[in-house]
Amino acid sequence: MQTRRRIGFAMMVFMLTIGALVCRLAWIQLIKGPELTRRAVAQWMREIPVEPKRGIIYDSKGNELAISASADTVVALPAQIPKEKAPEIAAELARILNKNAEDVLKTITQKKAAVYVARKVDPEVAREIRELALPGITFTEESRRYYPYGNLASQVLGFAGVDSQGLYGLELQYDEYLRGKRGYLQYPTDNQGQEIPNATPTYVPPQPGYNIHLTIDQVIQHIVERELDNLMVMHNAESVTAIVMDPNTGKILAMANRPDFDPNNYMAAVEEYGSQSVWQNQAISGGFEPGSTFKVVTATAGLEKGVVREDSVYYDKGYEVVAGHRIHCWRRTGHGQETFLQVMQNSCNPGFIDVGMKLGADTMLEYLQKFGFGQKTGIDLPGEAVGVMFNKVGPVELATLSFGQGPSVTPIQQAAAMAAIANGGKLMQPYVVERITDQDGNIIEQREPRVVQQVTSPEIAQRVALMLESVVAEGGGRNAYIPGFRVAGKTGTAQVPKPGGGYYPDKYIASFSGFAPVDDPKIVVFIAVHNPRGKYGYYGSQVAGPAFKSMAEDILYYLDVRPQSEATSGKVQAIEVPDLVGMTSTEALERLRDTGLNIRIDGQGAKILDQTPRAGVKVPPGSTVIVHMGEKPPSAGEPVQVPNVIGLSLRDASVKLSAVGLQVQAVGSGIAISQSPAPGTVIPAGSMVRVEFKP
Amino acid sequence: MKRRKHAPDFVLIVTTLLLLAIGIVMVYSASEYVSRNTTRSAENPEGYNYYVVRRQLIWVALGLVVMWVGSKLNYWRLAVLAKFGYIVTVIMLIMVKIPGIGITRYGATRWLGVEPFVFQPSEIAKLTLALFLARWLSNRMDKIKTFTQGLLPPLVYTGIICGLVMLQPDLGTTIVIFSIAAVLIFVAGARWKHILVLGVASVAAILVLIYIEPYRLERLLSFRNPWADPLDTGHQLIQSYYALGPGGLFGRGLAQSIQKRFYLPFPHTDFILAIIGEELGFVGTSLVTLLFGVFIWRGLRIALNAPDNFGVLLASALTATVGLQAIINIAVVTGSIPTTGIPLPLISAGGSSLIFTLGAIGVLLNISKYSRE
Repeated sequence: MQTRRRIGFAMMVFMLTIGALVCRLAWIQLIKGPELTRRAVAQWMREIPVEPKRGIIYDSKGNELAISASADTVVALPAQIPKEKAPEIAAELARILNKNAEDVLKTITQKKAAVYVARKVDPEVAREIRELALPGITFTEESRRYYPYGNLASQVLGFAGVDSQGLYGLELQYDEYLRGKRGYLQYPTDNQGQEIPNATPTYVPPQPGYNIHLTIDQVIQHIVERELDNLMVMHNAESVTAIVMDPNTGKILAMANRPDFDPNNYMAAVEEYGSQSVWQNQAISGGFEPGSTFKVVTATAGLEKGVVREDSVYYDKGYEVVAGHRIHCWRRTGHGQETFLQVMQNSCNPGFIDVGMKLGADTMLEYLQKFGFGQKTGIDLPGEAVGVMFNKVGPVELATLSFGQGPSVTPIQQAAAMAAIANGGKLMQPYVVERITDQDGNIIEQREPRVVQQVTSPEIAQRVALMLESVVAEGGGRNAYIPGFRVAGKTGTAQVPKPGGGYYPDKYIASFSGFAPVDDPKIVVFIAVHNPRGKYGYYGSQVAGPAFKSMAEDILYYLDVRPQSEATSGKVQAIEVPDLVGMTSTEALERLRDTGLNIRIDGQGAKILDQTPRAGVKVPPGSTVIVHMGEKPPSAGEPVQVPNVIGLSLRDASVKLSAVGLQVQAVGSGIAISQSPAPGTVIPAGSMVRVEFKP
Repeated sequence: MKRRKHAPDFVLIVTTLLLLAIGIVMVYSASEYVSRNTTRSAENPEGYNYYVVRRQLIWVALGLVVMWVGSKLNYWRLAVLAKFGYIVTVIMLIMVKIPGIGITRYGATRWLGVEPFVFQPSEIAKLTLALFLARWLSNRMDKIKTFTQGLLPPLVYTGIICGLVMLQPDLGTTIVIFSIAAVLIFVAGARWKHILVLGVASVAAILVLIYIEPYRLERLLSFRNPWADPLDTGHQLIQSYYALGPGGLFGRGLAQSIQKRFYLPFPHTDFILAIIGEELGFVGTSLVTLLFGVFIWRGLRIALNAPDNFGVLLASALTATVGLQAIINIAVVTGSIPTTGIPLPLISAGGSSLIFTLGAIGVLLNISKYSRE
């Protein structure tokens, strides 16, 4: 009986245990199931990332400045490559991809689920590899960045790297918008990385990036860049920068620098210039002494504080003594007695020192700050510089500050400051991105103009604007005059400080900052030319002024701003063209400097032989005088050597012969085939050379 | 004693055949992927060309023959073999330890025989000890209450076997063998006081074993939180959970396991229940567990109704052999007790143990033919 009880007891224990195990199984499989499944899935799943398509960058008119197109990337799945076949596969890939076979073998035999063999290959290459149908070699689609306009606005756009990550410029600044969200293809594998047959992979599609719409207008950008190229060539400059801004909103309409680069092949420029600095946008990151363009700040402060008026009289003796230092005007002889308006027109340094001294250091610094100097404008581009302000302003610093020497400012700060004068005293925050939209065109973000602060009252701004208009109409800025438009502006010629102190004797920054039309400003244009070393000198008026004129004129017409000649004709005086014949080019530049006439130098030689228009003709300011250089021809009878004209046209032959004072007796027409006397013969000047031409 | 012969226990036969059938299907499912994706090597003697499932079919066929023979042999005739079986077992267990005779697999030396016909003496030990103790105790039912004459001798006989198995070392089997003996002694009518002392002594013994080899403690504790050491001690258990969890209620479907694809070690042997759980869900695992419950119920019922003491004790011991191994295996797979290498009887792939288990069931069936009902 006892045995039966014992067996019954054992039975009970066994059954309770069986019941407990069933409960335990239920706990693991039913209660803990979801949590364990999540962990197990993480263990099983392999992911192949699918890159999103990067957003498009549009200009303000909807032109595509940066686009993304699909490109195939070659991916190896090492677990699916048969070991014995790996070297053969590597050799095939290396041949098509033009790579080292050993490196490829190393890549495709890594112990990873998936590795890149080659990123974003050309379509033909991808097709060739596809046709081979190599085991374990597959493709994934990635997007590749194209910049259809090449160099256009390169430093503003920047570029994206091989992983479609923004590296410079807008591509960097707006990377998180442009980038989009990565998708992936997820499939279960066994513990050796092999895909499980018949398992359904999950595909999570990538989210394409947002598109950004710029304030920059491709046409205006083209106009600006064309002029920058001209400036580089004409003035043999080190670099140039230009900004075109809408003064009412702060929208940047164009922004460009030279030298530049092609973002489609951004490494090429680095190889060419030996530095990545070509990628930097000097318009926002380059700081330099502003020079006379800064006088706008002094004038605004002076007018507002009432220490000076347009008709206040000042006597310029050619210098001003400050704390025992004699600070000269650019014109050593001085401008004599002049009104403050004339001080501005003449860009007379002592006249501004006088105003600066009356204002005092605190007020000057206050206005610098109001105009936004010494702080970032906050433009939506990476790498903006702050510039350098004085940390201690003594009398000498105050004096030089009043005419723009000493502090370091950026082009964008200067453009924004000039815009504040143009728009009635509001410092606007400049910006380049107007709108961000998704793929369906829905607006994600819309930028509104932002007033940083009121710099000065609209009345004072208006008075300064009128002073600046007179600078262009009858002062030192006449080179920038555009017939039919009311243009205001200020030239600047700044020296470049040496690292150790003092200034380079031969390095200058020629700049022009201006806006038009004065009564309803549509554009502010700022141009800076670094270290011009050409035959046209280095003055802001003669280097940057004409470029402003060309740019602003084309932009105004493009913006449908019509000329209003009656509005300006009253103020502008026609200029009598001076006689330049016989001068050297430097003398001619100096002679034309105060006149507001532009010069174009043609031909080679030490002296000016001829000029168009002739001396005495009256022309509007900003007109160009073309001068022809050459040696003075020897007087008749002097012995000269007969030059070789064979192979030249009649015109070229006669130019060449007349240059040495010989006359042409042409026979036939076409190309010179013989001449007499022979080249090298010495004959008296004024003699006749017989040249035979044949077609 | 009058023995009336009738039909064997039908429910036990059906239960056994059901478990065998589930075993064959699941061994095939659990092993086919590894089998197709590996080549034969020294470390992987079984992993190719459906070797595992082909062998399993042969073992099942052989096992069924053995079961049939076992059911035909009158169980009381086995009593004659008790002493002989015990001595042979001890000799075989000693032979395993002799270098050159014992065969090593998976890093443990537990086998005897000539490849591929090998077996574990410790498998036989479960049955021979059960037989020996059943016979010894059935002759001394009156003395079991005494310590020196009733309780001590079976403990010593058990201790010798356990000690030898422990030397291999095989803690899991040692525990199974000891538990079988404990069930026998309990059913035979040992005093509660003695059983209590015995229980305390076993716990002490386990603590001593842990003290001697501290890695056991690590193993002992890792089952509580396998994620503490996911790469080493916790690895198997985590992989078992990753099979059971995703299985849910109905499972992924037959042959659809992912864990069998090189994630879970021993998917067709010790951890086959995890694969059952992944493919057939809680429905599958609870069915298997309950089938073992039915098995134990029928086995102990046969013991209750056995015509003589020897039959009672032998039936109890044989039922316990199968039932305890099933319970320990399921407990291991579910992380309820520390991991030990005990296969799931009738289901896990594995030759000799299947033969011995079916042999034991055959004997059990024979006893059932003489039930007093």
